[in-house]
Amino acid sequence: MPTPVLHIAEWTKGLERHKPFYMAVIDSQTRLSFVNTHFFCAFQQEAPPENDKQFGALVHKLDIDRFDRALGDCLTEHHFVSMEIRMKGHAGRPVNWELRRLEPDGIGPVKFFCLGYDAPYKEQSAEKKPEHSSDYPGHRKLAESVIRAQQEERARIGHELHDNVNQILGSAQLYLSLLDKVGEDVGFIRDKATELVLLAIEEIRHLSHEMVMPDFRENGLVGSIQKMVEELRYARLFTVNFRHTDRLTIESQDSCLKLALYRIIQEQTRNIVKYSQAANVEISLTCTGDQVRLTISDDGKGFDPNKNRRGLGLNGICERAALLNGRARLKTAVGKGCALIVTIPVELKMLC
Amino acid sequence: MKNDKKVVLLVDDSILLLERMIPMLEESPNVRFVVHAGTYKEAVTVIDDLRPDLILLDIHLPDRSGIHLLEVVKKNYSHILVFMMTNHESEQYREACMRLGAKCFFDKSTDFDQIPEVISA
Repeated sequence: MPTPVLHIAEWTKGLERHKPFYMAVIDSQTRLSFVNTHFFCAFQQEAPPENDKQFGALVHKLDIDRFDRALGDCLTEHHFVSMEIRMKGHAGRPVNWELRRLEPDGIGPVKFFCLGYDAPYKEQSAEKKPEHSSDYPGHRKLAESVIRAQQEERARIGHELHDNVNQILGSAQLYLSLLDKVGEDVGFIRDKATELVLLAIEEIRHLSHEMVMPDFRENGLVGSIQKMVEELRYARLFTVNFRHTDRLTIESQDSCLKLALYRIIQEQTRNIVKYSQAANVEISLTCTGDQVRLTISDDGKGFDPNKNRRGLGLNGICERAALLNGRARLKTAVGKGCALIVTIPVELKMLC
Repeated sequence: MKNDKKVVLLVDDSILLLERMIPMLEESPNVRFVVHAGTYKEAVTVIDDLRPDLILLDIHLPDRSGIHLLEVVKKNYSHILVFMMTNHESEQYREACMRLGAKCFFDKSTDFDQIPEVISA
């Protein structure tokens, strides 16, 4: 019986940089007959048993029509189709799939070889914005908010560099200049200069760590928050609890929404560290059908919101929420701790 | 009705073997589903979760010996049939594998075509 010829070595050429890559063989009903371990672990392992043997049942419901159309295309017109689709149970990450029709020479059912790899992480991109975005009410105001938030962030980084790193390196330079003088303790100077340079490295590392975009592909939003919480716990300034519901729904949101939530938590925890003198901090992230709700509360000294509201990074928080048509509210009073509540409607992620 | 078709785990790091094996296994009437693992580590993950009926196992894996995997499988899941495959057949290997509970021993270069037949038996 003639058998379809596979050229997996050729098809996977150049995919080494995309490891892991997923392989599967399906029939026209999308029934799976072959998978590799990466496919199994990424998509089937956690899937309900009634769904785990059908490729179509593993595709995210929003992409299933597109997938069916592509499969139909591959069956009737083209031998090869490629597309980006999201899979269930894969933290909402899109996967680039290449479908190849396998030729059985008219004998036996038609099969398809599917080769996939995780699509590169995409940040908020200009192409995704609505074509006539300037027609949106309040668009100009929002654009100004973004620019202002960026300027504030740059100013903060500038201050950190000036106040910390610059001072530390200045001191190191002073110690090193002592080496020109006769009779100085060279060992002591070397140790002090080394200590200060290491301190500067640590400061820059800390600052750049805050600036670098979290990679949600690796840990998802929930995992990235958990990592942040671990770091806060390590500092032992206060106890931190992080609760969340329905990880799958949270992770399936657009990256711009997740990034906004991540930055808001980063900003607010920075405020708590700096000003609150709190003993306990609670972070809660819930995602219902139509909105994401983030609450960050602490039992610190609180403040008078009418006096101190500005200049605590709260502008940035409110503007980040507003950009996604969400809302940030603050409940606080002197001696009463502080609670930040951010709600963002989920469907408005399309604004990005 | 009981489904007698087998779930097969193919453990081998050679893409060329994969290219030949997939079509053969696809056509075998006794095979329901095939999973490929390229390393010992991948194979262990899949065995624990999938509990295959049959394993086609290469002796030489990139991260650890297939013979060790045979031993582990037979110790923990004695009902799983294990067919060993190698390119370097020697009586010593064959004896060791059969002693550890392998069902068959194939030389990939000479016995390859027999594999689907033996699976179907």
